[in-house]
Amino acid sequence: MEIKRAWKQIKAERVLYLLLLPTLTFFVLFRVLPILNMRLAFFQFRARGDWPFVGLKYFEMIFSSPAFAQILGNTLIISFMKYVLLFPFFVIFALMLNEIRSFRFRKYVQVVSYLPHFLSWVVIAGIWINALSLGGSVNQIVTFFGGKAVDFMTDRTKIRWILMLCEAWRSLGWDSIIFYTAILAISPSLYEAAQIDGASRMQIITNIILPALVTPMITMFILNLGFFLNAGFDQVFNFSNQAVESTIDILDTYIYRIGIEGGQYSLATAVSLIKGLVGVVLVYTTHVFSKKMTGSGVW
Amino acid sequence: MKKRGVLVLLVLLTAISIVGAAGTKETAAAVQSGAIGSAGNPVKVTYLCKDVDPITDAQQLGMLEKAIEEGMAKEGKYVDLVILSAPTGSYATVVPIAFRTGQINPDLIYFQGNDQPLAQEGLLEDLTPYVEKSVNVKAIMGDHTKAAMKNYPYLMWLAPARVQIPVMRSDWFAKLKSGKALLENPTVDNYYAMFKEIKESGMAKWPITTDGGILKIDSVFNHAFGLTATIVKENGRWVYSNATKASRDKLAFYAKLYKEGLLDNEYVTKTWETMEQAFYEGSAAFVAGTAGDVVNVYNNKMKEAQGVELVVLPPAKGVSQAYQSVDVTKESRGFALNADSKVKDAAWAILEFMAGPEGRKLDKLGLEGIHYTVEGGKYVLTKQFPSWWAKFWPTMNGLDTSNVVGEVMSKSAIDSLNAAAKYFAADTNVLLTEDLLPLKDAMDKLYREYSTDIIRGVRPISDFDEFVTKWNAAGGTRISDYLATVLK
Amino acid sequence: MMYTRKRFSLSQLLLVLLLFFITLTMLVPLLNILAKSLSSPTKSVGMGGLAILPQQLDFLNYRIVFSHPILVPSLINSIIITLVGTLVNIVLTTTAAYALTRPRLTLKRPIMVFLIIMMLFDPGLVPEYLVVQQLGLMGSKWSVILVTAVNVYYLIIMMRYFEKVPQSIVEAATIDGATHIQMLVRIFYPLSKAGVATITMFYAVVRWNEYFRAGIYLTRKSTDTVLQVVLRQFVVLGDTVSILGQQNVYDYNALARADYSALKGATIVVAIIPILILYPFVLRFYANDVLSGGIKE
Repeated sequence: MEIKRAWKQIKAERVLYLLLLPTLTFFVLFRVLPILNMRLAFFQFRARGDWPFVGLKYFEMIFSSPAFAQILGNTLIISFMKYVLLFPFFVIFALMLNEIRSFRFRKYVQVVSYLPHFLSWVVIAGIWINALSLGGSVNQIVTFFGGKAVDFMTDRTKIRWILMLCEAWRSLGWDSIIFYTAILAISPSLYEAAQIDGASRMQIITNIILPALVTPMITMFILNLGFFLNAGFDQVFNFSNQAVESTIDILDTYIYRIGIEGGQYSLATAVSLIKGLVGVVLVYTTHVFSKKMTGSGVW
Repeated sequence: MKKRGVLVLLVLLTAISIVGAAGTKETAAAVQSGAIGSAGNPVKVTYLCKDVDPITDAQQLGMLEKAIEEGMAKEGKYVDLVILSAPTGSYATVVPIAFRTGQINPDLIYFQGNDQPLAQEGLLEDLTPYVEKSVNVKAIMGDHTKAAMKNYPYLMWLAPARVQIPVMRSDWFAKLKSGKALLENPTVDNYYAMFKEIKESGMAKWPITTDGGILKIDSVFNHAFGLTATIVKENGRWVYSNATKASRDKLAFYAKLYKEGLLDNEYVTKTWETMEQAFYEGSAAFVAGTAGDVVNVYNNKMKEAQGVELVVLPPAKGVSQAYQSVDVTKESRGFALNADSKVKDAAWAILEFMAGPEGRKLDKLGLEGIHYTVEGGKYVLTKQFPSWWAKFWPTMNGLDTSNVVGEVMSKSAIDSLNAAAKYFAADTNVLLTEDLLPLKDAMDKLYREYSTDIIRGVRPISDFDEFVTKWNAAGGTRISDYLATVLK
Repeated sequence: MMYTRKRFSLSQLLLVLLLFFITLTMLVPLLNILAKSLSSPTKSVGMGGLAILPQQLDFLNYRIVFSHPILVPSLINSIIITLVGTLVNIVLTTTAAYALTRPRLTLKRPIMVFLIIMMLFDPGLVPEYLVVQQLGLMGSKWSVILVTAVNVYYLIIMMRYFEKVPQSIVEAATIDGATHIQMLVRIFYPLSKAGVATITMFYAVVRWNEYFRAGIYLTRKSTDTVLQVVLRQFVVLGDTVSILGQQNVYDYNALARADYSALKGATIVVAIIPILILYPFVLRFYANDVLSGGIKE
């Protein structure tokens, strides 16, 4: 009975399903089919002919290879730097923006700081590789203050910080919008009450503004954790070179190198499978957590 | 009436059959000699090579195509050579990818890396049968090429063995007091003394420079320190020489050079272009280049930039003396035949033709009217000549230079080839199996990282022991076991 | 927000200086490459990284860049992929968002769960690559266009915008006999203009910046590629041959002695221009609240 009624309803809604069809076809073709292709992780790829089944061979290769441990370590460290260390600065930026009294100046800062987010990493890499070179602007400033010029892009001790700082350069403005919006949403009556009580600026910030930011902070932080294994492929891909590769090679660049460049399809798919599964668990867990604590999650 | 008619018909028929038979015999003979295509129906063969781009060099490449087609037509082989433009990107990276995805499918492809996976997947044709039946290619194949073909018959490269030969500006070298001592007795210490003199006399900011890695300098110093081959026996076990004590000594020496400013402190970020720029502009005194063609280019550009030619220097003497050992496990670059090609015979015929006397002329001398002119039965090289390079086989073998006026190859380049032959050493190396390759890849990265750090002084030489431990853990031990089974 | 009236404050000054410095780190590199690219090679070589005014105005670098035989075709490819791709993106995203926000849609729950799973689980590069090959899309622009046809995150944002359309208007239109498509086009698009515009621009920027998939799927001919790939080859990998041509570099002629850093700058500028054109629209539609919020003097 229920099914009959439901079927009737579906027939009535058929135009809507027609509207959904292109999108759903897309997902079937370009998500479901690739997921089915992931079985390649258990087979040995052959350009012609059938793929012989090899079970867990590639997973054994992965877990016994010290290279993989290094790459996993890189991924986690770089993600940590970008999503944990950098995190407070987005809040601080929003706070600073809010403290500016001049409307025009604040607008100027906003317009300028939102722009880098829209530049491709190819462009950003082009700009910064040049600026960080031995004759570039950064070294010009360093030597002006009496320091010694450093070739940042080939320096393994500094490259991860470079990645973090360039990420900051790109996202400081745009990614702090969510916090700034939260600040703007604070009810003016709270400020009035604080003024009557004679609160100082610092007290206003700590007692009114920060509490309002707690929800978006938790949401953002937890959501970033969900995507911890990604670490920013586009940036690493464009900033990497032979000298520093071993310190910044992440899971995704490794998959690209051995999979697409090296043609080791099975091995690359096995790594993708591990990453994908861990990713799902991470994102789902963090989403549930975030929803529980703040009411909003990934979806 | 009727009788005459029949007679005429009989004569006609006989004539036709005689002519026809003769014709068939001709074509039979032609087929026997390997005719390809016909004048009205040439066989289309596509060709892809690095830095040979019909989009940017349409005019010259068009002329080359025509010249090759005409030359081959004279031998009864009718081809339509089509030079393709490579996809955008780093050739060594993007061409294997594009080839695997099927987006490019040339009959003749030049590879400069990443071809081994393709050969293992059966996408490249085994060239042994073609070489067997060949005349021209076989005739000009060097010994190292024959050996490489036996090990890895998928890439063919007719060129002198790729040995890095050290060169210096002849005028600067003549000025150096330590120069003469070096030529008499090229020990490591005498080399060091020469570099010191260059630096202290203020001749050049950086006595030695190289492009990103130490391969070029290794050609000078490896044998002196005892790195006589890629794989050596240490303590009764076959190991890669990178992780031996000899390697440690060599790296310590390089570190000393770097620390004292004798080795370019910016060498890691230099590419071949910036390295050459430093050399021509005089900020570096000593570089190394591949024997033959590359030394030739250096010489010509130095002549243009500074008006002097180059002098070739010997490898350092020590435990032994030779330039880098010549590895014949496989060619590092060369032409391959597409296993899926429908016109393999025609494609090979082009390679054959280019290895023959006519083809050698085209390949090495260039285009008539632009790179040389014909005057009085002789080929006179023009001022444009240095801007031409061989699009097929770089070797000088098989080229008749008796009636060429002008230097096809400069004296320095010829010296470099002679030096390479004089100080030749064969290498010991093996092709690794599919599952050992990724291990070796990781080990090589480790070596590059540690060696660069030790040379630049970022790590002390004592860290070399740490490197050896990590090297063995990353696969060194396992591969050594494998080597013991393959090498006797 | 209210403040005690203070004409001058040290903390305010420090704040302004700090933020100004931050904006300089964003502006100076961009202005610097613009300046160098517009300067004559003899001068641009001497210009450091902090110069922001061109010296001896010269369009030589742009002439070299635009006469490069692959740059203009790649630019055209980028434009085509951006326009067609964004169109595909928007049509798919808005139709799906519309359908999914119709109240009491029977299969909504299972479809949403399906979409969320799709968003969470990334099959990875090689499986996607194999599918593109299986579908015969290798070498065609459709590979790049279709593989990223819908972004679930943007779809959800679109749904939120559509949910804000008042139900009363929808009901009124239904009574008037409007079909779903008419409803979508005549009511939802206009009423969610900011949302549709924002998502369109987000998609467009992503399309324009595409380089990775194009580098694998569009390698049939050198002229099949997109602008960002050419840019990356020259500017990130430092491959001068790619912008000058091997013969020029080999000849070490005047062209090869051009100031590479200024030439790179010119190529970057060309790649940024469409972003700069779209940027004011993004500010207007998406960031408007944020830009005009806060205290006004």
